[in-house]
Amino acid sequence: MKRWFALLAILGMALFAMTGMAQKYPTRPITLVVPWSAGGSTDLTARALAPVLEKALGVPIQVVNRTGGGGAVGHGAIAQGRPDGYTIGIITLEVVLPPWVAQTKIDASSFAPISLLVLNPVAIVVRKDAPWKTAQELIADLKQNPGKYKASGTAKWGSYDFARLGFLKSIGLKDAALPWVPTQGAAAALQELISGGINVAFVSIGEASALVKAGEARYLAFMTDNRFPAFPDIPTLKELGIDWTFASFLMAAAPKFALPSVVDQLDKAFAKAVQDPEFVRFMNNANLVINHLDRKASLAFLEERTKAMNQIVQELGLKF
Amino acid sequence: MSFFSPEALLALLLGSLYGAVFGAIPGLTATLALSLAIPVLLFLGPYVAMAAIIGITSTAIFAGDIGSVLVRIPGTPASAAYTEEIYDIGQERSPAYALGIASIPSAIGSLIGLVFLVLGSLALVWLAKQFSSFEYFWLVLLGIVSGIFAVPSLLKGAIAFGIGMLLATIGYDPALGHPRFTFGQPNLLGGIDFIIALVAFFGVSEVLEHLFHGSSRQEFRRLERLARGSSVFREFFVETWRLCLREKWGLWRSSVIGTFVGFLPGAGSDIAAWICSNFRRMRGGTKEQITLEGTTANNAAVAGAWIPAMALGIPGDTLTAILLGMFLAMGITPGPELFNKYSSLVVQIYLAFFLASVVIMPFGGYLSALIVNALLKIPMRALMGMVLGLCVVGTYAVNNNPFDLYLLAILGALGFVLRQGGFPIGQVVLGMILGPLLEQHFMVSMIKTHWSFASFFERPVAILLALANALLVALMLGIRYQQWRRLNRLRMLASLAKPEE
Repeated sequence: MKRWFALLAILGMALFAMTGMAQKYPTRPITLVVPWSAGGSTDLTARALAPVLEKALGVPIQVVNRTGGGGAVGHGAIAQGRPDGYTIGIITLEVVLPPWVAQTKIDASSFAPISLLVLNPVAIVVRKDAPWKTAQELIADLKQNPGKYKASGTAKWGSYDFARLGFLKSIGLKDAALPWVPTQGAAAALQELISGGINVAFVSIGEASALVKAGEARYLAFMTDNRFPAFPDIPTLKELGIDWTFASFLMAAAPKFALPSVVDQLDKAFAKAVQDPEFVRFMNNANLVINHLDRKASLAFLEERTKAMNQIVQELGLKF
Repeated sequence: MSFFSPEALLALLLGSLYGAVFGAIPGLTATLALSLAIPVLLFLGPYVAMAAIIGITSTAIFAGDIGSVLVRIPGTPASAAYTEEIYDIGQERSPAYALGIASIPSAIGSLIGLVFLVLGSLALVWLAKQFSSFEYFWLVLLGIVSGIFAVPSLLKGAIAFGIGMLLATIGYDPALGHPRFTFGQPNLLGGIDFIIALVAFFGVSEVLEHLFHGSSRQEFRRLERLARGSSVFREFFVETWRLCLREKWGLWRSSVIGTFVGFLPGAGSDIAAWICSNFRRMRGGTKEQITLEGTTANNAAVAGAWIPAMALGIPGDTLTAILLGMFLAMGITPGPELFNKYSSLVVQIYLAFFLASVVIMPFGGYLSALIVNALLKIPMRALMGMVLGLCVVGTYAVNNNPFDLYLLAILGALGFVLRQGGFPIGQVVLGMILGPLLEQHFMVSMIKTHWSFASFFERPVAILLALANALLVALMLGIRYQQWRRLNRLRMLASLAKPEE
C-alpha cells in the first residue's frame, strides 16, 4: 500500500512537473527566422516586431536572416526546425505559389501557422500618359486587343505574375492576352514602365507610391477587399465586379509539429504585438497593412490561397 | 533649423568608423553594414540617420581598398576592379601612397558626384527615364567589350569572362522560370551569391597561392622597404595630390562616368569602377592611372545612385534600395515631395556628403595608412591565417547558410587553378556581374518585341550606345593588329640578326 502511494506521488509529481514545464513555455531566447535578406519588407517587419514581442513573451527574440535559394533556404529552416517553439519564422506568399512549391518541395502544409501579420496588396499601375483612365477602359482594350500590351512586376512565375494571371482569369482572358515580361523585381519593372518598355505594372501599392505621388504613374485599381486608406479614390477590383484579390503576405509560423498549446501562446503574443502603437505607426509609414488573423483563421487563409492559386494553374492550363 | 547638430556629426563619425570596418573585411559589404544598422537608425530620426547612412556608405566603399593594398583581397565588389594594380603600387612604392590614391581621388569623385546630385537631380532623371532594356543591353555590352579587351591576352580574357558568365547561369532563370544547373539542390536555386564568389576568388585563392608558393625572400624585401619608407604623411597627402593634379582629366572623366553609371537603376559602384579602370587599361594606362580612375568612379557612383532614389523613388543600387525602405518607414515619400516638404533634410544630405568627402575620407584614409603600416609588420603567414578566418566569417554572414562555406572552398580552389593557368581572376568576377545583366536585358527586350532584333536599333539612345560599341570594337581590334604587326616585325628583325639558330 505504501509503495502504491509512493508510486502515485512520483507519478503525480512528474505530471505536475510536465504541466509546469509546458506552462512555463518561453524560458529561453526564441529565434525568429526571416527567409529574405536584411532591409526588405519582411526583414523590416520582423525587426520592428521583435522588441514588441519581447515585451509580450518576456524572453529575447533573435531575428536571423536565413537567405539564399530564392527563399527556399529560410523556409526550409523554419519547416525543419525543432518543433519546440523556440524556432519560429516568417513565411511569405511563395509557400502557396505552385511553381515555387514544385521546385522547393516546401508547401503550406510544412508549417503550423501562428498568425497572419501583414497583407501587402497589389495594384495595377500604368504610366501617367497611358490611354486608359480607368480599369474598365483597360479591360475593354485588353478584350479587344489581346496580346497587344505587355505587363511586368517580377520574374516569370513570381508572386506578381500570379496577381496578373488571377486578374486575367477573372475577366475571362488567357495568359497570352497580357503577356508577362520578366524583370528582376518591382524596381526594374517600374523603370521599364516609365521608360515605355511595358504598359502595365503589377506591383504592391507601397512600391509604386513614390512614382504615383511624383506624377509619373497612376494607379488604376487595387486588388483589395476594401478601399485602401492611404488612397481612398482608387477603386478595388471587387467594386468593378471582378472577383479577385491578391496580396503578398507575411505570416508567423512554426515547424509543422509544434505543440498546439505553444502555438496558441505565440499567437496571443503576436496578436498583442501588432497592436503596439509604435509598431502600427512604423507599418503605416511603410505602406504595409497590418492584418492579424489568429492561428485557425491563418490556417484557413493558407488553404484558401493554395486552392485559388492551383485553380489558376488548372483553368489557364499553365505548364512550368 | 540648425543643420549639423552635434548628434548628426557624431552619427556621421560613428557611421564612418562602422562602415570602414565592414568595408575592410572581405565578404562584409556596404549593403550588409547598412542593413544591419537599420533597426538602430530607425530610432534616430531622419536627420541623424541620414548622416549615419552617408558615413557608412561612403567609407565602406573606400575602405574596400585597404584589403587590396594589404593582401591583394578587395573588401567590397567595387574595389575588385583594380585590386592587382593598387596592390602592386603598395608593394613597389609604399602602402601609404596606394591608400592615398584610394582615398583622395575617392573624395574628389564623391564631391563631383555631389555637385551633380545638387545641380542635376531633376534634370538627370530625364535621361534615366530614357533607359529601357534596349539601352541597358548596349551599356552592359560596352562593359563586357572593354572588360575583355582590357586583358593583354585576348583569348584568356575571353575564357575567364566566359567562366564567370557560366557560373552566373546557375540558379533560377527569371526569364523563363526554370532552375538551371541546380542538380536538385535547393541551396543553389538562388544562384551563387556574387559576394561569396568574390571572397573565394580573391581571398581563398590568394591564401592558397601563399600556401603553395611561400615567398620568404619577397617578404624580406617588403619589410626592408617599409623600414626605409619616407614619412607616411608625405606619401599619403603630398604625392597623391601631385598625381591628382597630373591626372586631372582622368579624374573628371571617371567622376562623370561614375556618377552616370551610378544613377542608372541596377548599375552600381562596382560596374562604374570596372568600366572606368578597364577603359584606362585598354589604352595602356599606368597602374596609378588605372587605380585612380577606378577609385574615383566607384565613389562618384555612390552619390550618383542617390539621384533617382531621391527624385523618383527608384533605387540606383542595393544601398539606395535599403535607403528607400528607410525613407518610407520614416513616413517620407521620395520624389518632388521630398524636395518641397523636406528641403532641410535634402540640405542635410548634401552637407553630410560634403563632410564625408572633405573631412572623413582623407583623414580616415590617413589613419588607415598608419594602421596598414603597422599591420604589414605582421608576418605574411600569420596574416594569411587571419585573412582566411575573416573570409569564412564574411561568407557565412551573407546568408547564414553553412552550404555557402562548401561553395567558398570549391570556388576558392577553382580560383587557385585559374590563377595557375594565368587567367585574370578579375574578368571571371566581372563576367559574373555582367553576364546575368546582359542575359536579362536581352531576354526582356526579346520578349517585349516578339523576337524582333531590329528593336535594338529603334530608340535614339540605343542607337548611340550601339555605335559606341561598334566603334570600340573596331578601335581595339585596330590597336591589337598594329601591336601584333610591330611584334612580328621585331621578331623578324631578331631572327635576321641571329641567323642559323
